Amino acid sequence: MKDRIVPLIRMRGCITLSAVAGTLLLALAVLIIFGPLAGLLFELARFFGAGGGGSALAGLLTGRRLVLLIQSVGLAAAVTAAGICAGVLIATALWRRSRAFSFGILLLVLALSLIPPYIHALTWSSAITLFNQGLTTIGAAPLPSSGWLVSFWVQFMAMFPLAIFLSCIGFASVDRTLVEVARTVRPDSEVLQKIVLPLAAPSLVAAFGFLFVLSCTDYSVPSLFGSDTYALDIFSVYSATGSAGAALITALPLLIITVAVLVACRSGIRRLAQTPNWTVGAWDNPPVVPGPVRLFQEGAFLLLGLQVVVVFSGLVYATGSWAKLSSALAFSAHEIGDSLLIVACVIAIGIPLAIVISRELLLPGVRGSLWWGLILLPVAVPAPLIGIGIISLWNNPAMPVLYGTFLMPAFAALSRFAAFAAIILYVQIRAIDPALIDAARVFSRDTVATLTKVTLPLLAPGIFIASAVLAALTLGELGATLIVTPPGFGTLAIKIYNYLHYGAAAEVAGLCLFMVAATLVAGVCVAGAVAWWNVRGPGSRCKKSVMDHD
Amino acid sequence: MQRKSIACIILTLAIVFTVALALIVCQPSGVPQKTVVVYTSVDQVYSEPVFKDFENRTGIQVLPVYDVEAAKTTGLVNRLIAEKSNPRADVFWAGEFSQMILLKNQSVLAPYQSPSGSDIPAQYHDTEGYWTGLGGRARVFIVNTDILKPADYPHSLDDMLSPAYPGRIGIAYPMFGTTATQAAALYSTLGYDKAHAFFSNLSERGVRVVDGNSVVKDLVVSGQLDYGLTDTDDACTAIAQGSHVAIVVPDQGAGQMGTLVVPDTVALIAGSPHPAEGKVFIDYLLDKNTENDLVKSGWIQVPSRNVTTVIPCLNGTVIKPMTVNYQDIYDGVEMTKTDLADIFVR
Amino acid sequence: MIELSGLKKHYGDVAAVNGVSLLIPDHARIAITGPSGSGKTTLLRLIAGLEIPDEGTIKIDKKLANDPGLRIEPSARGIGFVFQTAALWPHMTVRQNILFCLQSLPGKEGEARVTELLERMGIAHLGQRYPDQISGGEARRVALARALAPRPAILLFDEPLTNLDDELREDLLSLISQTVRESGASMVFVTHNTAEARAVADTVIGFRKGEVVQP
Repeated sequence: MKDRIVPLIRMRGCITLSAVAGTLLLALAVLIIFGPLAGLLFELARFFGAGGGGSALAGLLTGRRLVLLIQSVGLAAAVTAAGICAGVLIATALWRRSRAFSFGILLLVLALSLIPPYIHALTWSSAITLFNQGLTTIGAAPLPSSGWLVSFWVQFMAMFPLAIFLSCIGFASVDRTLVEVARTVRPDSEVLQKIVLPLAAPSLVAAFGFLFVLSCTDYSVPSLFGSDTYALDIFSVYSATGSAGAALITALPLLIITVAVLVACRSGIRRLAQTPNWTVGAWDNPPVVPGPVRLFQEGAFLLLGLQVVVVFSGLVYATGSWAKLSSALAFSAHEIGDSLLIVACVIAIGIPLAIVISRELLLPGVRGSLWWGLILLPVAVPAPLIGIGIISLWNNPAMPVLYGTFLMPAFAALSRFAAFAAIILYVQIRAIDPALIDAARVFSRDTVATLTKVTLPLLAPGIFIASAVLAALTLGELGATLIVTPPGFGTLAIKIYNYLHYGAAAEVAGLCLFMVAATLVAGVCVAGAVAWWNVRGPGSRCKKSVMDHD
Repeated sequence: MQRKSIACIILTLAIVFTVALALIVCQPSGVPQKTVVVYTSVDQVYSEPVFKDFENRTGIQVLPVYDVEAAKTTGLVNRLIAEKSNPRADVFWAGEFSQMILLKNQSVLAPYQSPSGSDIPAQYHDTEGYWTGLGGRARVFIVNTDILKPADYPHSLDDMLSPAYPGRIGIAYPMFGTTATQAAALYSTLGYDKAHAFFSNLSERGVRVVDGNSVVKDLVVSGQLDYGLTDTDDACTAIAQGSHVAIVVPDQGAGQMGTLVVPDTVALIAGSPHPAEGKVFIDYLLDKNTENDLVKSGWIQVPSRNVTTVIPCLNGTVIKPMTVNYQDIYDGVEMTKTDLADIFVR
Repeated sequence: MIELSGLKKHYGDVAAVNGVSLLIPDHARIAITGPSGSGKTTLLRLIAGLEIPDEGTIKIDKKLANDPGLRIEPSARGIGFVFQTAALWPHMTVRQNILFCLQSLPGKEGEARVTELLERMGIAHLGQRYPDQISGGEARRVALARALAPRPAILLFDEPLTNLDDELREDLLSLISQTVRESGASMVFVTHNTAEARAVADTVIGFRKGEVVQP
């Protein structure tokens, strides 16, 4: 009898320990990620209480604003669709390449996505001017240097690297066995159309949603080329009234659209049934694409090459010399250190939160759906408003220690970007055979050992990727960070924009080059870590042998 | 085994908590105890040397928070308002005045009349002593000299609409920053109808509206625009960098209205954590020598007092300022910004 | 007929297939047994064209299948493949899964063929269901029907009865045996279970460390 009771008590102890830890982390996630929204709602209530709500709502969708909204959504949809199409072309083209080449491309696009859209805009603006000078010399008509077409082009090129990265992740989610089965009975062109694309569709739809939201909330690129967007109008209201409530009401139509798009996309992710294999090797005999598709693939690579040439040559030319680069770095050492501190903090806090949230996303029924809806909300809210929400929540006498520290910009980044880490880990967790975790729970009574020796190693690839995405997004975050960065603290993004305003193009270019180089180095380190993990580390024991059930 | 794990967890959490607390709370040795927190919308490149000099002279450490143009000045001002109930800043140093008046109306400021500002002309002082202005910048045309000959230079804001002065023109969005302030000044000076007509015609003419004064400067320097409206600090930076541009101060002729001079302003924050240090900083900033240093660095082109430094990029030009009432300008800002958003954001 | 001659395939330093020469005549029913990691699956994948050999030749009906200049693609080799997992496409119903393999039989003929196969497998009532709505055993039957659908000249089975209970295993083994005999196709059946191999095939070949050995 005693023997039966003791294991039962011990099992209860295990459940209690992990349940408590899970609940605490979940509570922390709610506080950090959704707290700013609660703060914003409080500001909104105050705004209505002061009598400002009525007039703001009345003027919400006037003729001018409706046109702006349609223009903005149209631009965002066009940019995103083009980005995903081009991303799919490159992702499928990489099947024919070696694993090293594919990894190099992924690293390159991750590094390029760090560069603020504004820098892409400036370099492309200069490139178009130069090109037009050449055209004028030969008597040809110059390209338009402002308007919707050029806004579309530059915003597409700014989003292109991220679109490629997300498309590649999307295709990595397709179970290769399913493709191979199809290849034994149908030509590759049909397999691509009827098997690969439908299987990758949920991930691609999710990528579309994310890029769409980013594009909708970006006004810097279109405004440089004379195209006005709804996001700009939100800031006009904010500037004119100084009221977060008024800005939030103005943002409502755009918020509704972006949230609706995100919710529609999450349905796709929830249906995701395949096993993602982030580290799968190259195809030994890759699917053959039809000739015309191949042409488009090469065209997409040319576009990527063009993007790299324009951006890098613009940055290098603007930097001018090693001396200017070193002085920019020396002068920004403090900001570089602060930025890296925030990134480390975001990853250290964000990954555990993302793991617990991803478990909530797995739950069926109302609870899971609720989490899916909630987690995507902060993504759609304009960044400065998130900052105001953080101040509303944390700047009170009850929490004097935390407000005014580097945790605030970290919390701002977490609120905005934790959803992406959670979704990446959600996909990873779905890939894990539950029997593996159950077996650990049955055979090991040590919760910590289960976590460190079973759960985390199984989640490792997703954790690495989620960390990389969090780092990239955090480094480029400006709007919310500006509102909450503590006195004496500075980030690289703020420094870059300050230099831009001053007109120190050389210093800006130098810092951007540094960010790109740092990402490449970090990416190589992560790749090395993943490779070690799979070849010599715990992952090598998880993998089946190369002969694989032969 | 289970007890070991619990102990392990508790120990890890304790270490993490201690390290975090140490990072957050403890100051490294050697750092002075006295600090002053300054929020500033003045460019970091210009304000940072001022902070360093202040630290060296007084031993009071400055903890700055900077704004960026890309945030459309919605950043710091709204942060100050949001923090009103539990202020973190001691001083706000702004590159213009309308935001300062907004903050005064929101009860964010505390009155302080610095003795250093006693020789600053009266028009630069808030009547109730909540803020003080010092030298600032003027709104000017920056002209690409490779594209335009002197005979084609614009000399008045009206020239932007005149067919006699064709060309590709740029302005920053007039709902933000000093461009908004200038727009509000025009609405106040010319009256709603004339100002509205002016900006409507400007929009119809196809003037290129961009993301800030520095962008206007960049586009004129690169030849993508023939000329544009910007601030003197942006224009002087371009000249100092050897760009082929010239500055033209608009509306300087007899009977013309002059150009808007936008003074810097500084104020103490109500309920600030370090009011004494805040006052010391304000005294330092309003000192004539500091204003001279800001002229020398290129931030101020229109000093409030006679300073020793000559401003090279203006070639000794004396700027005729627009006669304005700051309060009137401020009172019209919200209406102006809303009207201009209707005209330009479409 | 399939001829393998001097076939080699390496993964890094490991020789998964190490100089295999094998003749699979028409209508032959061959089982390949061997321990896990011996290279059996790799051999099947090379025959199917899903991987490219490092050395050696594969001839299908006397035509060279792995010529670098004119490789015969997997879908053109006239094979049916039953994987270790059922590998049913999740976005297609059971009927659609089988119909997809009938590229040469459009329209009503294809539908009739699918109905025939479903009835033969005893799963006619599952036609409109999705893969996540059927059991593991039913999924294996669908996978078998799918492999048989295009009337392939050769059927490849890669341990198709893994993770099934004894009763189900016996049922499916018997079904496989019967349907392969009726179809007249050649068969290569990979398993590590010698009894299973003997039950389903006429010839049993041993495979160890990438080489053919006595079973």
